[in-house]
Amino acid sequence: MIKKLADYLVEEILQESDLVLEPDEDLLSTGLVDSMGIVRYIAWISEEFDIEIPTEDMIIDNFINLEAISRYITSRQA
Amino acid sequence: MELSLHGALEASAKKHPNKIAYICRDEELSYAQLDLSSAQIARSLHQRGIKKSEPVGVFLGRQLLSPIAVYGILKAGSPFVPLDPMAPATRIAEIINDTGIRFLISDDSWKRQLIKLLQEDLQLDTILGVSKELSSTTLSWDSIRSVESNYSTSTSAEDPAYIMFTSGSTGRPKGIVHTHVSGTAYARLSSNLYGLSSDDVVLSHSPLHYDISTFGYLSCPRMGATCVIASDAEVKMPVSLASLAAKHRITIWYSVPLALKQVQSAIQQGHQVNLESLRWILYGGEVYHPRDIKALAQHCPAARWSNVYGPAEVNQCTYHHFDPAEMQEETDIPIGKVWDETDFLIDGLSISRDSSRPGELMIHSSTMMKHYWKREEDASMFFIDQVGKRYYRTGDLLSMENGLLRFHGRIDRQVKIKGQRVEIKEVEAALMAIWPDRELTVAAVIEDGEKILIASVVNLPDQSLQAEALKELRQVLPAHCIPHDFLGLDIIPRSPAGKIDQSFLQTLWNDQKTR
Repeated sequence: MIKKLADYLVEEILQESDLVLEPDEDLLSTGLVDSMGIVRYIAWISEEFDIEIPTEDMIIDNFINLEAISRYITSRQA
Repeated sequence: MELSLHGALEASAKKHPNKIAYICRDEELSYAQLDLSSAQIARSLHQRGIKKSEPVGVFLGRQLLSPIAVYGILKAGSPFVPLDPMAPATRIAEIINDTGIRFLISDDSWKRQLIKLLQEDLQLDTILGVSKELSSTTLSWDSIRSVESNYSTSTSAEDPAYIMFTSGSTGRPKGIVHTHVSGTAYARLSSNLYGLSSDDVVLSHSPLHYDISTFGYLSCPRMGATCVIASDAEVKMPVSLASLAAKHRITIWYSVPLALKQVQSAIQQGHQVNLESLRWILYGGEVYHPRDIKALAQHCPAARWSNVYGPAEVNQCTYHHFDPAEMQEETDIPIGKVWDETDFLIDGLSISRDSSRPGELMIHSSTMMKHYWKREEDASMFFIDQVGKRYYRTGDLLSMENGLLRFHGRIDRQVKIKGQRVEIKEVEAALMAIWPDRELTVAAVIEDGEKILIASVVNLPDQSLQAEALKELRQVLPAHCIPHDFLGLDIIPRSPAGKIDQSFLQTLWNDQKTR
């Protein structure tokens, strides 16, 4: 799942296909993903993994890095 | 005699060393720690041979290291230059070279951006705060923390304290030079106006390169208040941002309207947000619709509201305090009255009574910048001198009704997007460089109550070329200057005088959206 998450982020959101993301790399605190980017990314995650993402789940802890996102998706699919 | 900006911090650190000065995410910094760490920065810069008043760049985001960098540079006797790490590398490089910056303060979390930046042609000496060997010399935070922490240098009040760069209509960013006099005047006047004290907890939402940040970075240390820096991560996550208010018992919230609208949207979507601790909500940078204010005001009954106005060149210069319950929905909020130590002209005339015809506001204030960086010679373009006083020409059109100033737009084509200045000419020039044989114009239109930029182009190229063009624009312009979308036209709508027909563009845009 992490690879799939990384591929879409790198190619579609960041449009820098040569970028290599670490699973624990902070996506939010540095300039990696901007606020529009994160909104688009969350919308894609919701559709792609067929999960509903309520507003109260849109918090830092769930989206800080690829590992966290992957954990969050698994918990929503359960 | 007023203290320097760092002198004010030193006084607060002496008075209450253990009080928390800054909080960001789960970290905090006491006044004593801030004073000590910033002195270590000053000493490190000195050891590296910094010259008096040599500008130093701050390449950081909304993080706890930012106030340390700011006060470290001030203690070294230099002005700090906030750089937006998210801006295109070419633009940052232009500012670095224009100001002759040899020292940058950053940290490893900005490594990716630093690598891009270092591909530009720069004359850097040292990057402080970076542990990895990039290309020029670096100095790690660990080495900075190991130097002695007593350091002092003499600063005179007229020395430059910070240089903020803003969009310029010629395509080159303009550097606004503030001194210890103007910075301290802002800290003093804003503290007085809002009764800021050491009991306050202030939420600072703006990044350092944006002038709204001065309340958190300059006023708070002066009064020994606690400042909560909304981190870059929190700013991207509205629910996390909204919950800061209750988590830290915020008493004064200061941001652009956009951030407050995000809080409102979190509430609307059913999220529990507690705003009871707020005693002041300050907003500025752009217009905030009374309807949106009323909606949020229900959730913070104890808060007073203040519309803050002032171009970065004068810091704040007017205020309007109001009670949302007594406000009419259909009228825009006035920008109000000028504050202390300030007077103004409209179209060069002193105004004492109402004047409904909008004219250009000219401001004289103790909080005013000294000049633009390297543009001392052009003073007559930006200032007018009258009866021994220097007034800054804001370019904003204002009227006075019932003793209150009201905003009516610009004399030129500058607009504000998300509270940040955009020089339309600069965006047009960048787009014309990509499509030299196209006739085009860039304009702000309203969509869902928000201002967005659109580029109207005759014979608009297809979608893949549009995407390419946007990508190229992102290499040269900051994010808020990038057009949101394109509009294909047969002809650019102009009045007989050649002025672009704004309302017609808006209509065409609305049509395109509903199609």
